[in-house]
Amino acid sequence: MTRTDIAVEKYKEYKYRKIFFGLFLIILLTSTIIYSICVGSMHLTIGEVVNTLVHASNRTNEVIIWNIRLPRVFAAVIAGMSLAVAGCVMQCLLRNPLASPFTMGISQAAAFGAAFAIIILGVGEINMTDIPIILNNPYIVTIFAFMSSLIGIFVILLLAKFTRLSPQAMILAGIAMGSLFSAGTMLLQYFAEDVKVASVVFWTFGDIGRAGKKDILIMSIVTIPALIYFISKRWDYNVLESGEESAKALGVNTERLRLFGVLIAALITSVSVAFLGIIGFIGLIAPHIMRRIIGGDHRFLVPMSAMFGSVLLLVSDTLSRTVISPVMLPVGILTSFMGVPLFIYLIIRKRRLY
Amino acid sequence: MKLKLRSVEFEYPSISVLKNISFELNSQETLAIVGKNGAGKSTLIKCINRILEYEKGKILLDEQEVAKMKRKDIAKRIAYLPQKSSYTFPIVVFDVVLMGRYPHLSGGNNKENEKRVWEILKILNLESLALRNFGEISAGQQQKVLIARAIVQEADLLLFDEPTSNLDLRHQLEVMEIIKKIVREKSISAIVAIHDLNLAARYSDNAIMLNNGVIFALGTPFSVFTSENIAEVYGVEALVTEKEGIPNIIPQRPI
Repeated sequence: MTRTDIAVEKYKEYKYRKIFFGLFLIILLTSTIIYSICVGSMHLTIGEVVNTLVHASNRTNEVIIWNIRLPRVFAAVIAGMSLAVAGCVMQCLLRNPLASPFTMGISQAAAFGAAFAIIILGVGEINMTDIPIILNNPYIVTIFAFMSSLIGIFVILLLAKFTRLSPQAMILAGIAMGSLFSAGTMLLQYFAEDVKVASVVFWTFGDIGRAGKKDILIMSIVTIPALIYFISKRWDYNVLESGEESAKALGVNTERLRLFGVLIAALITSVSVAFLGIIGFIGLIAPHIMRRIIGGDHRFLVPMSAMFGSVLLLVSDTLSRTVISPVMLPVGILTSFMGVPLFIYLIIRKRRLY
Repeated sequence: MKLKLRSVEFEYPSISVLKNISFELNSQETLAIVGKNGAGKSTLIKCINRILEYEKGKILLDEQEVAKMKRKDIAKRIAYLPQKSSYTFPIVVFDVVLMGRYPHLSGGNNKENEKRVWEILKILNLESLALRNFGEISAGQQQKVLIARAIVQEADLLLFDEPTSNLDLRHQLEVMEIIKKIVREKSISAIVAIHDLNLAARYSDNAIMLNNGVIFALGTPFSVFTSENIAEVYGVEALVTEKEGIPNIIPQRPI
């Protein structure tokens, strides 16, 4: 064999390793989904689950699976996917390893929106009879959280569009917007009654169980096309890694790619955050863990980050509702407890060739 | 391939960088651009493939105006090597070179693209680096990898922005030799912005000396690299002799 042949073989091996890891992730995700459906305050066997799904035999099991477990599992899969893929794309687009959906101030903005709805509009208070329409709409906090995070993103994107902000400056603008929204939230909380402050704080704890079937449908409708868009742009992201000027010279319209990418990433994150509350770290950690394992090629990185985000959030959520059952911990706490040690281990481990 | 620049002007907010730049470049020609720091060398290079959008004048690539071409179509014709290239995240050498195929991607045939990359890596003797992390190889090797990427792009004009600036002596010569070789073998053209006047004199057919954004001298190396021009543009006293038909510049002292 010539030197080239050896190199070609090695590269093939390197590619197959990634494909194998992808298959492993699919198996891991599937088994996590099955496991999550089975465990809980009432344990089910795989046989019972399959039976119930196929011929709807047992009424109790049916309720548990269709109304409680499946929506929850689906919500975790979709939200994990959207947070991770948004983080992956933002890190590439903004050329910064610290970028994540939350670097753009999305969580702080959503929290402000929720606080505004709870404290100023008094959503959730039963004895407020003067604005009954708003009170009867359970979506009002969600809608405000969503609108508020969109306002934050649009301010940054408009700045980027009209003043040609550099990617670094966009991150700084995002952090600044985040601080502004945090200050707004604190101001609202300072003048609010303690019950309302408590409900704002509770809202900010991410909770997968909050999502109903309709919410999950909305999240899927937004997330899945976004995922397809991101995968279709995999080559562009790879080219962008070589730098702004090289990417332009290779034929990428970098400004447009960045604007659309950040907008879509922000959009899917906002939807998740608005429905489920703040779930930190998945967007930052899931793509980085994948980078450490399979490398920075977006052909593999985008779909695998998405899958790994789902796995991470689903495992965290399953643990959060089983570990000290019947108490259900907010999943945001678990994602950090699970993800951060794994992340630090991968950082300090001897760097592999990839 | 024929490149024509007609009265091209470019300004950054508040500072005019390029004024009234006109020249032509033919097939199989290597053009060196020299000048002081800040003379506008990089800016001129970046205007040609529209990394920077020039405001006035025309750049014509085979009579087609570059300003009206799509980025991808420009990339099929013009390849560019930046002065500095940094990756935010680790990437292996093979994948860096593969990016050169981006303008030609159409849906599927990865095998064909990968085959081209291997061919070039073999020609440049880089196969053994294919799986190394781009950030961990030497600056000279990095420059060769980027040249490989430019070749894989199959453009007929190559733009180099100071390709030798942080390389050791051997790599400087190697890189210039590679450029000369591909220009000759593939019948393409190259524009090289460069600081080293001797390398410029030795490896170019024609040269442009820029001074404060205008063309101070344009022509063969002998007509451009004269003691008078170097004194006027660089403020340096230099001795220019001839060696093997090439001007040999020996700087003496600042004036």
